[in-house]
Amino acid sequence: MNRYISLPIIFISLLIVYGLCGCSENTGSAERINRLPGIFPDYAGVTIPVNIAPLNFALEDSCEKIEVRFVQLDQTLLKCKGRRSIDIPVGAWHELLHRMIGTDLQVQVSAKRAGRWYTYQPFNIHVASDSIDPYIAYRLIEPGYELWDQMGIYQRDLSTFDESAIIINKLTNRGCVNCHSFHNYNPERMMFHSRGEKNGGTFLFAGGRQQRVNTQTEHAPAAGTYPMWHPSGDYIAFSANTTRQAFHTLPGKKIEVYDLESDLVIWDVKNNTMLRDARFTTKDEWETFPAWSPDGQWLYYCFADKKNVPFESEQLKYGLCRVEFDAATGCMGERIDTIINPATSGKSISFPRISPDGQYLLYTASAYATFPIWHKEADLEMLNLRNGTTVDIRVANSDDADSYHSWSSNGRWIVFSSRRIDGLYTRPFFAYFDASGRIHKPFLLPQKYPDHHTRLLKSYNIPEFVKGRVELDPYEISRTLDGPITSLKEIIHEN
Amino acid sequence: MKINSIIDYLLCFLVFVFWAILYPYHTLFTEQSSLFLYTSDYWGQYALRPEGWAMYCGNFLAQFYIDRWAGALIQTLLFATLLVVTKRILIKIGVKGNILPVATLPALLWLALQCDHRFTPGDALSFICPFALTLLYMSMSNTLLRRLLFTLMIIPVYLFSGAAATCSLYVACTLFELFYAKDAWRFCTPLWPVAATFLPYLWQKVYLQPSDGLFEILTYPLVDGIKYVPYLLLVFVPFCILMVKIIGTNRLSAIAAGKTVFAINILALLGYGYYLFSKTYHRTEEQKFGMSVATIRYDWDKVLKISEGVKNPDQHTAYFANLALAMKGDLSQKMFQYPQTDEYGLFLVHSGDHFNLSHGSEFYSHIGILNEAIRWIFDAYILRQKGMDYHTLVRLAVWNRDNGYDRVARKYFDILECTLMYRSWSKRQRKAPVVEKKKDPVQPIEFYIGGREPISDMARYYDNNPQNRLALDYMSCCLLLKNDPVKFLKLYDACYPPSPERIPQAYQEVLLVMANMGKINISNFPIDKINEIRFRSFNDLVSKGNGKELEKQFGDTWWYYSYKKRQ
Repeated sequence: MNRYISLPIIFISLLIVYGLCGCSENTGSAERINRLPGIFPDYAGVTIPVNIAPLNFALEDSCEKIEVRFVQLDQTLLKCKGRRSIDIPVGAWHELLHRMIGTDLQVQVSAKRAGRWYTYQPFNIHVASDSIDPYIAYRLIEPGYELWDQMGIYQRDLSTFDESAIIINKLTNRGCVNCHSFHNYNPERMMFHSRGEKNGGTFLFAGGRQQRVNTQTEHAPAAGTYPMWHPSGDYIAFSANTTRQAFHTLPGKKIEVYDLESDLVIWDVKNNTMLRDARFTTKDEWETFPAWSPDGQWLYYCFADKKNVPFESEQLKYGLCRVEFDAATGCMGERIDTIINPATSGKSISFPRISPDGQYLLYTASAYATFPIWHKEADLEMLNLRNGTTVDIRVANSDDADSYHSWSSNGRWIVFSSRRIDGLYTRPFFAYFDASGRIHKPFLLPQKYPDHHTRLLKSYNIPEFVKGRVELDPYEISRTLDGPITSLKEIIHEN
Repeated sequence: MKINSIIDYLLCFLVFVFWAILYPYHTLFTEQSSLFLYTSDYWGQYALRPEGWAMYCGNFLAQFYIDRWAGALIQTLLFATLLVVTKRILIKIGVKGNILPVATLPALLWLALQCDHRFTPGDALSFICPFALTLLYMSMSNTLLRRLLFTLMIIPVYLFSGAAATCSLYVACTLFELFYAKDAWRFCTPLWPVAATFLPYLWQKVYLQPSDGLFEILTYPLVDGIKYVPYLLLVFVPFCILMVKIIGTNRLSAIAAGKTVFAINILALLGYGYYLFSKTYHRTEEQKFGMSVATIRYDWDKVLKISEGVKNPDQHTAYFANLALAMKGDLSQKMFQYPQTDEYGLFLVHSGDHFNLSHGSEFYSHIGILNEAIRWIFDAYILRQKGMDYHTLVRLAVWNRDNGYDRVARKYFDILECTLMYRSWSKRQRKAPVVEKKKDPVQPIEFYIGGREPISDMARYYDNNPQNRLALDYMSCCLLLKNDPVKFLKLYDACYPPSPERIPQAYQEVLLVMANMGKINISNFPIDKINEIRFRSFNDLVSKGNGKELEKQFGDTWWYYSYKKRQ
């Protein structure tokens, strides 16, 4: 054989042999480390749905290489390698999870340092038999103060890493887009607000039709702010808030977001009217964060007595009430129940959300005021509505703000935004809520590159579950927001 | 060496001198306003964005602008590239001899754009790209290969230099084909500009962007006089190809032989070069950038040195000088030796101005309200619209660390460790021991800041931190700049206990005025004799109405500032 041909062949063969030797590095003889590996995100001991994207993670300790084995009864089902993090193949991961439904998956992490392999104590990941809704929608925005620049409402396929924009404000003259809400998790019935002189209004997509609506009516203090669809889809309850901000000087607190006024209003989507009840439009009492019971017969909301804000913010505590609602007439009933009395709870309640089975009420409790994401002490709390007892969900909480939350459509998962990673940038966490009413350790939204969460300079706002992909074209939404605006007729009920 | 080459070398040398000596802070400021990360995420932000590749490469280059000489060298190399490429293009299409100085025109126009700090290195590259690729196209002798290659390159070119530059390139290529190729297939090449025109609309499906900005060349308005420069740059090559074809190469050669043409060319270029320079060179802006960079580096002497040369002071220049004086402990002593505007020369306004927010934050960091400093710098970053930059990241990392927000500081340090120039700095800073703050005898009390006038915020802050002399100085000086000696006197009585120490110059001047008005007994204050004598002279000159002499003798006093304010 010509030596000009044979030499390259020998060289390539040597490379292959070297490569094979490298690939078959033996971690079996690795030295044991008697502790769990420090990994980011922390997936040790979490419970995950069968249809979640691969839980890629990075080792926090420095190392040259890592090897991760997913094991069941000493049998390695999947093995992944990486320099400091692993990138689990999506297909193999889903196959693995389907094999492991209802059982524990053991994860063995080995790391190579100074040419030697070390193996940490293994940890378990429990694969729940309950799946999670396929998508979540959220807003990505800098956790800024009064100003904003680039933001958008995005959707993320939870079984893969695919993220796509529903709308970005580059298409709406850089106006603020916020408060997206879906009717019964339906991607074909949604709304969000768009702020700005040219494109301002509320975007509504229902029955295959898009429209821009002005939810500001003559007597309301502001346009509709925090929304919640009635289960029938015929109404959307809003609080209309005049919101301001104040800035703290001492470390520990940054911003106090407060309302100068807030009322409850209900948008009759079918008849394009804004229903107001005189009881919920007084200036001396503030109502905010409406939420429907799954049967649509009760409207829950937070309430507080007027205070001289921001100076009396610390005395401002919101309680929780509910009022009867008649979907046939769009009227609120006589009966108003106090669910949580701020005088006795000593806390301020935000974002009430009722589980799809109507049994549990999940809410955020902070020391005072109304915007818990800027309150480090804010935590999730849960109430059993059938027996009035509190459910212990401390495992879901952290030392930082744990705030906006939603239930999955099957009531088995909650998603909530938390600042626990760095104290500033909110990230979505998921927690399993099992049939016995116990909440499990939450896990961070998986990303292809685990460092994504540490480098991303935007916060995830308002994570909401969706049963499918929102197929709306962002340009179409933008055209709708450029188009004519529908005004609502105000109807005031004097009760 | 031919005279044309000598002109080129001379021009490049002048450009280097311009960036290194005349405009160095501009380059340093560009570096501070950019960011380049060695991560795949960062590339992901630019990969599918029209003009994104140029932005990416531009930010890569901008990291070396941290050194003024390196910055000047890169700018000169880019200038030289454009110069050489243009000349070669002109030679390819038949322009020779004495007409060649016209080849310097695009480079001069490009230089004029570079003088605007909003014109990023990425923008600069996106303009060079069509020139360089036109030359590449003309240099490829294999007709099939060049047509195939440039058909395939349409998307990469669009991603590198944006829609307008892509259209410019393909119009030039088409004209070249139509006029210089012989085969029948050349008549298909007009499809290129058509494709380049439609591509941005198709690309909207891949990368979300509003339709009205698809062919936008620059996102900001240019000053009068250079408004059409970007368009001139883009049409230059197609226009030259057309002109050469219309005039004809033979006639052009005849023209090129004339010495008069050369002289006219040179004179026209000199004239136009001077015109561009006068329109685009902003000395005050350069000084402002200089003070900005020096402030960021805490080089207070440098700030004051630059401030001395400021001819047209504004709030920014006054602010930098006052901050530097305050940091050197000389605010109340020397503030009127430097140009003053009004009280907003002490505290910038929290407005929709990126520069205000970015630099206004420095004051709050030095005075010790880090929460407010972080708010200002964060708002500056959001207003900037181009994302994070080195200046903001560095400040956010350090101030969050110093304010006790360790975890978020770590996040910013992590990001800085993905850069080339700040990696080791970040590692050192991350490990820097946190300085234990002295326990104040009076515990600071929380209050809300930003909703009222800055002096009111300072008053609240001082009430809660009476040991903070900087806050007191700023309050006192603010009253002087507001021309309110009565309130100053109240503050002075309340906060400055009798002391044998010398009273700062500006305060002495106010006290003399108040004594003159019969509000105080001057013998109770240790006033310098020389000031008493000067005050009498000042009053004499005022009564004579001799404004010029007043400025000459007392331009560095509060008396003169107050006199001018009253007029």
